[in-house]
Amino acid sequence: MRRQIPLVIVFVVGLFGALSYFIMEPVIQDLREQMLTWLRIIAAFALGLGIASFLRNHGRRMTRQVPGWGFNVVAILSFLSMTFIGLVWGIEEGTLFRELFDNAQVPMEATMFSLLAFFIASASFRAFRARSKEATLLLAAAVIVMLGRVLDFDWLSGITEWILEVPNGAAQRGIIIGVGLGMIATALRIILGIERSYLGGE
Amino acid sequence: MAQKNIFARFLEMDRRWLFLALAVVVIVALLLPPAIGVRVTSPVTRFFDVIDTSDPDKPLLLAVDTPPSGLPELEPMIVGILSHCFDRGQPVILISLQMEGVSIAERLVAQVQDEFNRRAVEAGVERRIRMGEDWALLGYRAGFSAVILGLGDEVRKVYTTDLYGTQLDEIPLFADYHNYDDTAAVVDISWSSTPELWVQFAGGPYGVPILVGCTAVSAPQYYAYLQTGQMSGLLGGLKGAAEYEKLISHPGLATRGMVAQTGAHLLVVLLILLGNVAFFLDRMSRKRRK
Repeated sequence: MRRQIPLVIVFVVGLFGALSYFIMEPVIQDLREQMLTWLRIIAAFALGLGIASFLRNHGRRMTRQVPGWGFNVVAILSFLSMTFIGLVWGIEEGTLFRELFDNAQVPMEATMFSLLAFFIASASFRAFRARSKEATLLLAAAVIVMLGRVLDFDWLSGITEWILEVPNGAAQRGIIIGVGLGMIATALRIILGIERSYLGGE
Repeated sequence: MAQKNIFARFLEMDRRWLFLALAVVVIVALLLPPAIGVRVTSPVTRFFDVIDTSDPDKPLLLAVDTPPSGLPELEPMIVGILSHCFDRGQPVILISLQMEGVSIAERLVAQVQDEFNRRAVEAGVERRIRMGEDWALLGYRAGFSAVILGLGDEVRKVYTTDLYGTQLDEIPLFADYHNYDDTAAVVDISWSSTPELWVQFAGGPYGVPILVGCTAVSAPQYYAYLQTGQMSGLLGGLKGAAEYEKLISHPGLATRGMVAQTGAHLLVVLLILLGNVAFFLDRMSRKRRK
């Protein structure tokens, strides 16, 4: 019974969620709106779950003093201080929270992302080799697109756009259709109770 | 053990030399005047046209779905879009599906507003940009697809107040605004996969035009949507932002940054070529020795 009730709920809600796209009756649409509200509330709870998981994982590493545990202390302290500062003094423009966000978090995160450029430079020199026909094709396309994105030549820009729109567009479409079919299959397996791993245990 | 030839040693050089080369190229490029010509491509022209030909009385829904990591590429897009809309008197409603996006949106809209109003004062123009009339910031809501679908029914069911606690019914901008039917277009400035959600849950069911601004690394995956018309325009990375700045005649951070990006791309291409030449020469040299 403990397993059957959740399965029935998933079946009914899943089927309703799919059919409500196609049935425009006011009763169905009202119920659908109600379900969307529930969905937003449940999503908000996921945030709490994320915080609990963050504190648990970092806390465990800290108490066990695993190598690099100092970083876990910094993570927890940063989280707690930003939460405290935000709750006490607010998060609007001009507050301490906003100062810390704009002058510490923004440059730090932007720096982390920008560091990728250095690794790309290193990888391009060491790993990007024309070892096979496929690799040579990939390398040639990458060089053309990289140059075409920055140099102002008609012919180069034309080839770049063609690579992005035709071969790249075709490959991306194949991936999107594959992912879409996979999602439909997974959703059907869950709705029909074939896939039960979300219940835990099995 | 055989001694390594010059090519093998070249390939194994300390990677810190490569880091240094890139740093020097970027720093020197940033010191140079921004004299790089930017060619405007079709995805950006389409993006610009959708906004420029839309009804200026209908607000644009701008979703700032990026953490600070994406800002070097995405900030110029947000600034450009806000400037474009304010110049043509089109209101903008800002939301975020990503929590950190709210602070970013608030800072940038205030910055563009101040800049616009300062220029208006200097030019002796009476019109000013005002919160509640020209823009509204609704803030963050959890739930990605549920939020997008909810906005298609009624904005007041997702957001009862703006970020500052004012009821939407008390904000002039929302007097006739309810859902996507009242929206000129949705613009998603994103560094994750949220543009696909906007296509699936707003563009598809409600028919609102979807415009996307994303990092250069994400741009190729959206060309398929662009070709089918599910996305009406695309700004890809700093280059896309620079093209948009050119179209709105408002050169800014992206135009400036393109010099550094050009230098970095040229260096990476040079490194790929050098790496391959050294690799093949090393292989030939080893074969000959055998």
